[in-house]
Amino acid sequence: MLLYFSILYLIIIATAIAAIELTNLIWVLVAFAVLLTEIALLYFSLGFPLLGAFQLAIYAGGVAILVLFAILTIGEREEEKRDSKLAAGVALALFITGVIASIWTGLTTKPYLQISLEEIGKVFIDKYAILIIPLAFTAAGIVFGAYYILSKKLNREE
Amino acid sequence: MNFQFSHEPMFWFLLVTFSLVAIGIYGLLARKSILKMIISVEIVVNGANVGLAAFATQHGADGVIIAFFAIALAALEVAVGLTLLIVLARKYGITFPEKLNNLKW
Repeated sequence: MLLYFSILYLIIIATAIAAIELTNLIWVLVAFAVLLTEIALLYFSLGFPLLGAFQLAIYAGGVAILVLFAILTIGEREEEKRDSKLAAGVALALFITGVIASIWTGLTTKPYLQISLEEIGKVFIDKYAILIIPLAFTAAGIVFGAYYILSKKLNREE
Repeated sequence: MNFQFSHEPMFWFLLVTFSLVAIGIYGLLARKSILKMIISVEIVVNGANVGLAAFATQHGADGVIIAFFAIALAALEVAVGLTLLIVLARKYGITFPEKLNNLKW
């Protein structure tokens, strides 16, 4: 399993870096789609097929196609360079802090729980169903806010 | 061959989480293109979701449900972000956030 996980990890990290570093936006999208699919594979291997399917449908399907649509609509623009040493330092510090913290806290691994779809549904109904209402209002607020800002802006320009 | 994880150390999955979050933060700070910044945010969210799913194997189904919510909200955020990007690009030719300094009304 170490070999399987290592291959998965290498692909995930390589595609994540490629999605950030490549300049051709179509290749950025390809790397991003592969990254999302590999993460779905990780969910399947962890024993969460519904989450994997959700990831494939919404991220690797919907979001990737949305990004493709955006790229085809706006076309390729040349990206301005920015000094990335500070950003790399911050990211590296974050990574090292996380690794040290997880070692320091003495994280132990118990045998994995076998969580069935029925159990996920039961916990969802018992604990989280009420969250759907504020979540729906938040989603509506985000969409309406974006529309409001744009319509104000466009009306003003005209 | 069985590809189902059953007793692998949690540290492996936390390593994936930390790596993805670090790469996403790097992209967010180092890139000027709005599209790449949106992709960076998505990488951070995916890293967090991997951590949630990994902890769900130890503590129950709550992590998976929160990951479902995170995926739904992240998809919404991408949709709104890309819509703004397309409108700004078509109307004003702006695809870099530095030039986006006139949203006041």
